[in-house]
Amino acid sequence: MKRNEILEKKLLTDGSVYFKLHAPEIAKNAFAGNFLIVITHEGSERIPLTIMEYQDDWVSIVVKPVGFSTQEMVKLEEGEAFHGVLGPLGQKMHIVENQTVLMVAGGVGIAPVIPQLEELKKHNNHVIVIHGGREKDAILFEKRVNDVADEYIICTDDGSYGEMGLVTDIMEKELAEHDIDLVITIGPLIMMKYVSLLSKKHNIKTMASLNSIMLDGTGMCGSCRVEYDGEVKFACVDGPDMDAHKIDFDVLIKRNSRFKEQEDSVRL
Amino acid sequence: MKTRMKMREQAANERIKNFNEVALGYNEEEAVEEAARCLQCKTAPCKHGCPAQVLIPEFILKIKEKDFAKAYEILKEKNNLPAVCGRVCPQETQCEEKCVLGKKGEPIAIGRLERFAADYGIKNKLDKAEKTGNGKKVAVVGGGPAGITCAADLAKLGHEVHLFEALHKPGGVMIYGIPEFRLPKSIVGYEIDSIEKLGVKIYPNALFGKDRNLKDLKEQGFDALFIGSGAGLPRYMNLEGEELNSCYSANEFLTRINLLKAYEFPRFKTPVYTGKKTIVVGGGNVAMDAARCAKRLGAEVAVIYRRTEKEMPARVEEVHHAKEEGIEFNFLCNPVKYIGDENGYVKKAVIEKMKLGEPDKSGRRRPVATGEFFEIEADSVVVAIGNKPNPLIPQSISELKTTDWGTIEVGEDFMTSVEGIFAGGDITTGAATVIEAIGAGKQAASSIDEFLKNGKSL
Ligand SMILES: Cc1cc2nc3c(=O)[nH]c(=O)nc-3n(C[C@H](O)[C@H](O)[C@H](O)COP(=O)(O)OP(=O)(O)OC[C@H]3O[C@@H](n4cnc5c(N)ncnc54)[C@H](O)[C@@H]3O)c2cc1C
Ligand SMILES: Cc1cc2nc3c(=O)[nH]c(=O)nc-3n(C[C@H](O)[C@H](O)[C@H](O)COP(=O)(O)OP(=O)(O)OC[C@H]3O[C@@H](n4cnc5c(N)ncnc54)[C@H](O)[C@@H]3O)c2cc1C
Ligand code: SF4
Ligand code: SF4
Ligand code: FES
Repeated sequence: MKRNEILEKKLLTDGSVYFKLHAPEIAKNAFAGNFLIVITHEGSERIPLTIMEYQDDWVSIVVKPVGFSTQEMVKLEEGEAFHGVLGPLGQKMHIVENQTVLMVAGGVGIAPVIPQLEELKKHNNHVIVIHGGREKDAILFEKRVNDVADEYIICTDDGSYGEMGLVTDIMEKELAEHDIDLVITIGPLIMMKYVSLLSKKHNIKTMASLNSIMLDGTGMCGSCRVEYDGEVKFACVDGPDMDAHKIDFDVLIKRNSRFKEQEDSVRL
Repeated sequence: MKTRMKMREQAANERIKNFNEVALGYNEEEAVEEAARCLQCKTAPCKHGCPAQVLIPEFILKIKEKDFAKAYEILKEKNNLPAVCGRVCPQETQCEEKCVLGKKGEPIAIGRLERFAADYGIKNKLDKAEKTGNGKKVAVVGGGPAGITCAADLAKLGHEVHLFEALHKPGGVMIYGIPEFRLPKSIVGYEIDSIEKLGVKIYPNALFGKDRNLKDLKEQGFDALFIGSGAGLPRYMNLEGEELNSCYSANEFLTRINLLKAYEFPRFKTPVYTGKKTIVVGGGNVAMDAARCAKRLGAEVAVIYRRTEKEMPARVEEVHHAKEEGIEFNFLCNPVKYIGDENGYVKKAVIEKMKLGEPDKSGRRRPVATGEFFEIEADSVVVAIGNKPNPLIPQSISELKTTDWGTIEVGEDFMTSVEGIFAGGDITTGAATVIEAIGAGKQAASSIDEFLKNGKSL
């Protein structure tokens, strides 16, 4: 079998693609919270993607095609191989035991939530998952999450599925009803920012999975740097999961649009 | 003849529009004529200026005799990458500084002759894949000049060598840092091919400490490990505004451009943005490379350096080329903050004027702040003030002794504090030069061979 060969490819309801890859060294060393740098063809961009599952000699990823490189990626078929896959990168997730954890996911962010959810359950936590999406099709892996989570609330912007409203609306209700020890949030930066503001008001420790623009993913370039409690940290080596209350989300949101003009010019 | 043979170059107004090599090299007549100037000094002071002790008069003599193949062979005895060194060594402070002809006129153009003979060797495929015996199994981490050299020498000594490189292409700084117009990537590619021909197995996208560790190597039967992981961690000045969208570390800027070919965007899809004007902070080779890249991307470029031209650590040739290309130099200047626009891009830099004070430990006069400020309008900033070693490997092998600067400690035989683990290049010296990394890789290979011959292993 080729390195990085696609063992399985599945199209998901929101247009994202699930890939299972042959990657023995990565599978052996991976842990929830780690990510990969994936290069589709020789000369392609280096794209960071979270590891969703890791077992035996394979790992899986879920790619949402948003711009040229992810669009190019989802064209690969079973039996083909990615040009390069580097990982597992970044820190392991923040693990707690015997606590009540609230996980707040947005859109495709539910994929990286799954390994963390499973790990938290192994450590005897009570886990509540809120998953928000634009519409019904954006709700992925519903059965999988439902099987593991202690409580599971789905919400959509248009109310076409689950409750109507934003994840922060649901979160507010949950915070009122439960004694939450830890919040974990994975999704668009703007969502994580508001989740973080809300949990800060309630003084609950919060970990956010930062998706800043990366290049090498190994701490060599500083492209991914974030303002963390007045210090400079590199999301690829110090994160991606970091204490959300210390992150300057406004700077990060600006930095994530730094190549917007060029990106828009090549989008398919 | 007191003056050296000139080397042909692309004209400055042409070359700022492309990334092709600037210096075009000697042809045979030019090389032979330059070689004829060499006095063949018995004591060969030039040789002592070379960190790898290249047999300088010997190879030059062969050029003079037009036996270019032999010249190449002699070069290769001490230096695995002569085509690289002939192009990028700071010769004026190494071999050429010591050449006796330099006292009254111009020293022999040792670097240019080295480049000539090496290019001849490459063009005529003079490298033979010669191996001896069947040996032990050695892991090399890092595909820069130190790792490549160590791997090649160990393979020639008959060992089974596996080289692990974090990036998707081996070559280290030669591939991601030094631009095409100074060191064509085809030359680095040739050297990588030749070590593969020697049987070295190269694993790109392999980050030691993350996808494999010391325990894995032991389980897989490796007998020794060489670490050549370089000094790739960027430094910032911790100034207000460094977080702005168009403020880069030199590593990021150069990696986007050189490794990922952002200069061919949109054919290659990795973006880079300079805007109309770029400021480059620093005075070393890295700063010159960043400045000249920005120029070729169409920006006006100003270099900001806190001392004077005399103290600049960059190679003289690079500074000279940069000036020819219209890059502006602001000496005795230091940025204090960057001001951004509403979208988070750099708009201007606030610069403080400096003056020279007392000499510091390095003997160079220390720059002192004057309290006088001025502003420069700019759209982007590249911070090129040096690199530190990446802590990943020392963290993953906690027994490895490191210095306060984060470099790995080694003995004279390049062995670290852990038996069977060797290290060399920028990871042990801090940011230095290609030829020093090659020299370290070479000596480490021979120590490793010795170690293995004595029946020892990891
Ligand atoms: C640690 C980490 C984990 C991630 N995990 C996933 C995942 O599991 N699934 C998934 O679909 N996406 C994930 N992403 C986001 C994914 O990397 C981007 O969507 C992708 O890089 C966009 O590239 P593009 O060329 O397709 O789109 P573009 O049009 O180039 O960019 C769209 C937006 O994506 C962001 N982006 C662009 N280039 C990069 C880059 N090199 N690195 C990071 N962000 C970039 C920018 O904000 C940009 O505006 C993750 C990002 C990070 C940093
Ligand atoms: C822009 C620039 C210009 C320069 N110009 C010159 C010049 O003109 N002349 C000159 O002599 N010198 C120059 N230098 C310095 C010279 O390039 C370095 O001294 C030399 O490359 C050091 O070689 P090395 O093998 O020790 O490390 P590097 O070349 O840095 O190679 C180290 C390699 O190890 C890899 N690596 C790191 N960690 C890991 C890991 N955990 N697992 C796997 N792989 C890993 C890295 O990705 C890299 O490829 C320049 C440096 C820069 C940055
Ligand atoms: S390797 Fe560098 S220093 Fe040594 S002789 Fe060649 S050019 Fe001079
Ligand atoms: S010192 Fe100069 S002249 Fe003398 S052998 Fe060396 S290169 Fe030739
Ligand atoms: S992506 Fe380069 S340092 Fe994090």
